[in-house]
Amino acid sequence: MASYNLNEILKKRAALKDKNEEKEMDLGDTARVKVLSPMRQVMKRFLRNRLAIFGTVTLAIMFAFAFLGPIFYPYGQAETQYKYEPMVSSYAYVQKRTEYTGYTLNPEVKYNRSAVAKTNSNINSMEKNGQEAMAFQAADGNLYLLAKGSESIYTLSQSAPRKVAAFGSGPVKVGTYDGVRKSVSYEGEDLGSEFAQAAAANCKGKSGSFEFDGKTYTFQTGAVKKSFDLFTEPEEGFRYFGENLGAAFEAEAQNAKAGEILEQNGKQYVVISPEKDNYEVHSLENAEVFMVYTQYAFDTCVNSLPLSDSFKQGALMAAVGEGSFEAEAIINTEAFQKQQAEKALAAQQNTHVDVNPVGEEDAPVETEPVTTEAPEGTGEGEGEGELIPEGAVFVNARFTVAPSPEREDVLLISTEDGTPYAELNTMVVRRYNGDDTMDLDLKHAIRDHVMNMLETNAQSEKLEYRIPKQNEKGKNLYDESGALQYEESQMTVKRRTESEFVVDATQTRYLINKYDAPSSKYVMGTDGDGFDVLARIMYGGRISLMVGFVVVFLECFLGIIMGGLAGFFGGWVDNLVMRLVDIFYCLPFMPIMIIVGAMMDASRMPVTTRLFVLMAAMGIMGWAAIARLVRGQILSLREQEFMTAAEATGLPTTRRIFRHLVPNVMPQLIVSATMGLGSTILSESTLSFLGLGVKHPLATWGSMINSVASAAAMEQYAYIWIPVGLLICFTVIAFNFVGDGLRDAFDPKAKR
Amino acid sequence: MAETTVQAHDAYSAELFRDAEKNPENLLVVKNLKKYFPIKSSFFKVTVGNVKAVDGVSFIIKKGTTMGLVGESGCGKSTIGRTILRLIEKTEGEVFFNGEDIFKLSKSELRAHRPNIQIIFQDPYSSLSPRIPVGEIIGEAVREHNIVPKDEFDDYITRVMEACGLAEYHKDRYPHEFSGGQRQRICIARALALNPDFILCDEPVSALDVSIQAQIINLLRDLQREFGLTYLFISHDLSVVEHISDTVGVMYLGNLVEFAATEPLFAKPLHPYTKALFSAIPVPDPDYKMNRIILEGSIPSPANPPSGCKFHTRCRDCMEVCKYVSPDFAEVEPEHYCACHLYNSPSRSAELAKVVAEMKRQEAQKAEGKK
Repeated sequence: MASYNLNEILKKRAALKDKNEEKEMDLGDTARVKVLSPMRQVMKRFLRNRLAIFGTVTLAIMFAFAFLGPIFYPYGQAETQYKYEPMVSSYAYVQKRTEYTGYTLNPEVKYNRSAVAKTNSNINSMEKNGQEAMAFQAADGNLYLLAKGSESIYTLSQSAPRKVAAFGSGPVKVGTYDGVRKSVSYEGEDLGSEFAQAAAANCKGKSGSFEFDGKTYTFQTGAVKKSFDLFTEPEEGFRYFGENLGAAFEAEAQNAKAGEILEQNGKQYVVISPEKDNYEVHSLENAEVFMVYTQYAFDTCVNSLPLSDSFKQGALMAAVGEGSFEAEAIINTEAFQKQQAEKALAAQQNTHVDVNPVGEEDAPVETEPVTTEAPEGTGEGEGEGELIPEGAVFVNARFTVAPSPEREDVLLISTEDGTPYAELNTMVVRRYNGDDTMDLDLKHAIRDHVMNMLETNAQSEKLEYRIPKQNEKGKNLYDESGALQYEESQMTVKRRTESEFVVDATQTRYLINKYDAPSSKYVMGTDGDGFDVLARIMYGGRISLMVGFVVVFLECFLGIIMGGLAGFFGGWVDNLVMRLVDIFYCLPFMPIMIIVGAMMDASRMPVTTRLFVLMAAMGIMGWAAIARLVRGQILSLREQEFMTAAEATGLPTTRRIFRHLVPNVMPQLIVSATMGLGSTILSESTLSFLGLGVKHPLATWGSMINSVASAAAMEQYAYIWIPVGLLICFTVIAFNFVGDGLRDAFDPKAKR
Repeated sequence: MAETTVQAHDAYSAELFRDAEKNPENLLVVKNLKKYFPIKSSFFKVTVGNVKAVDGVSFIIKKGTTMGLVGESGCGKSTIGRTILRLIEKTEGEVFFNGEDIFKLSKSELRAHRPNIQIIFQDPYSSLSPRIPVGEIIGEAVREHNIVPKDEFDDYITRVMEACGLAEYHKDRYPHEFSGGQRQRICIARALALNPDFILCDEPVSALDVSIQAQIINLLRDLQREFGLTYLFISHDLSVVEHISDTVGVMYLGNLVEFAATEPLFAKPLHPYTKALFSAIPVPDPDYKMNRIILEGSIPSPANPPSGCKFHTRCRDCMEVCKYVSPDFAEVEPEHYCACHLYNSPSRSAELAKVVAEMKRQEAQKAEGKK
């Protein structure tokens, strides 16, 4: 296109020149002078600024701390720290039983529910009145007899009614007239068909009376439709339905209360009152015991040994009767014998059992918290949760029941060879969690204390006993041989109500290590979630710095593009972008971020997504200032001649913007971005502090301070927020120093 | 009637360089170029007037020659330059480069065309981007337009720099490390590297001290001699223009008042403005008695230029006709163009006298109507 080829001409010239010229540099040659590039010069000036150096070093340390620290630090940001620590918890409760529990002996007996519903109140009234037995007629017409077997055991029996006599002043029911069948069903004596006719003739309306055979009968509508109950005036004295029992019996019966048992000629009779003022006397024959009620609870001598129903029933009935019984039980199994042997050993050593707590109440006992790893159990299957121990089989065996020789109010159930097998006790000691895993000795000890407290009316007593050790999961620990491991526990029996007591026990538990003060293990302590504070500070620094950089990068990216377009093209583009900038300037940062935070809360965003959305939102909110800066710079640069020159040389627009304009805006941009980093970190911390920023479990400096935001917590856990606050402070100050240093280095003229 | 005179002027001007662009000798032909900058009212952006920066300029630059463009500050010299380069759009007129109308090129064509016409700016400090090393400043557009093969690129830039009096080691340095003269050399190298036919030198030496001026001028001349470049040399330094130019154009308030070869022009300036201008050239002889023509008043505003001849308010030889009719830009002597009523042919003078009489009558009528 040009009329000459400069390249060729110059080549020729160079070829000529090379022949006759030998280059030699002299001392004053300007080529020897090393001149720094603009960036190097800036660097040099920057490094002369002491504060800037301080800021840079601080930032370098901060970055190393936040980004390299976690690599070498053993704990994660959301890693809960645990510890073994003795903890006092409600271990068991003691109750003096007042209620009676029923055991069905004969499931084939059909009984009316009303017969058993009131058993407890019946027993109470019997005890109040000193009655040994009590009879009543239930709605099914059968007679029920509640009789005291022995202390705390009652039996309930059932028999068919056998009326032997009636007396009383109330109207006597003759029978029921059935208006449909036109017949009368009689209670006692048959009055014949003429009576039925008379009843049919007269029974109209709701009630009334008619005469028959010289007697007055009254009637009233009965239970069934079109039926009438017929009554007559009672005869004076006893009306026998069979054998006459004599005047003495009559007098006794008339003095007796309903439900009372009478004896005559070796037979038992019971007086019941089916209606008011009317009494009947029934003979009690062939009464079958079908339920047994007791206040006793079963405690097996061996821990957690399941008892069969037949064992329980047999034991109770034996306590009432002959004193021995045969039932299915787990006996002579390996587990059983092992535990027996253990018990024997423990009894021999007699170190753990505190059967005589008097005088030892205040003995200080130190129990060291177990912090080492507990030995593994030989098998989880042997835990107390198992109902039947391994290898245990129910077999038929003979047991004897007798009052305990050692303890009052206790019935001891022994096997044939005299080994104690179980106990019946009205003072129930049970674990709160429902397991029956307490040693019988412990139960005895607690009972003794309770008895003592009942006597002395004390409010609490202390004792010491061993309880099974637990692992992290709350399971019992076993040693290598499979034996249960124990730890000492200090227990306190406390009175809750008159008949209820609570046993608090210290137990070594695997606990979340909350608010642990700084120690060699946790250099900066732990926070309320049991997370290591130093680890969280490191990870929090990561996020805070990352948020700062990403947000500022985003701001700069948007700002450069928008500001660059506005500044370079001018006209309507400029107008549009600048109005957009104005709009973004109008949006208040905090309220918008609060709304964004609330929206993210509402949508239950995952924490990492939330982090990205937060960064995007902050970037979008912040680009306007950068755009304005860039536009201003570009407007002034655009008019510079080097831009005209660039246009004249035919460079494309993008190259002109990004190669010529943007690098010239860079100094101001770098300064404002560096300054912006500090403020971004600060606003991220603010948002996180307000709970709108980065969420748990991700750590940021702001949310860490938030975790101890209350005045009390701030005072108490200063070791959490003071380092974090200092870090935020130092980081922001360092960024500002670096920004100042950069500004001064880029523009030395502007310095003062 | 006033309008008819303007039309007559345009017709004459079109006649002036008719088909000049078809002559391959003429590298640049400018015909009746006008550039008005609109004056807009502040709020509604309504154009209320124009700054007539360039108001009908025509000239020819032959291949391998230098045209000097002189004139007072603000007379539109630089605007002409930038319009020729199409860095700003024209208002009216034509610019032919190698017979091609620059204003008819599309954007991409124009960009491809750019290397042929280069520009050197007055201020070597602001015309170099401070963040780009010199080698890149010079080579950027070379790479963009594929002027040389890629493998020869580095050598080419070195050679261009050497041709402009720069050393190879300057490549990696930044503009702030150079003196004004060196910077101007960089600008020249940047322009030269694109292998241009035409370089617009927009007061390339006015920011430099005299010794450097000479270096730069000589460099430009050497380059011209060697590569056959064509220059449009804008300056208000008449001695420099005299030294470098083959032809000279004199501008006053957006108009070219005189255009001729350097020697005849300096020997015998025709236009009163040119005479006044040249009388100000200092002569390096203390005994020489200078006969300076002092122009009264200042240059009028280009937004509201005087009627008739724009120079008539300050002209010593102002006649009645000058106030009413703008003079034609005519070939007064061979290859010597001048726009002044002093050199009208008698027939033309008579014709114009009638026009002036008519215009005066109309003016009087208007004045009466007002009363």
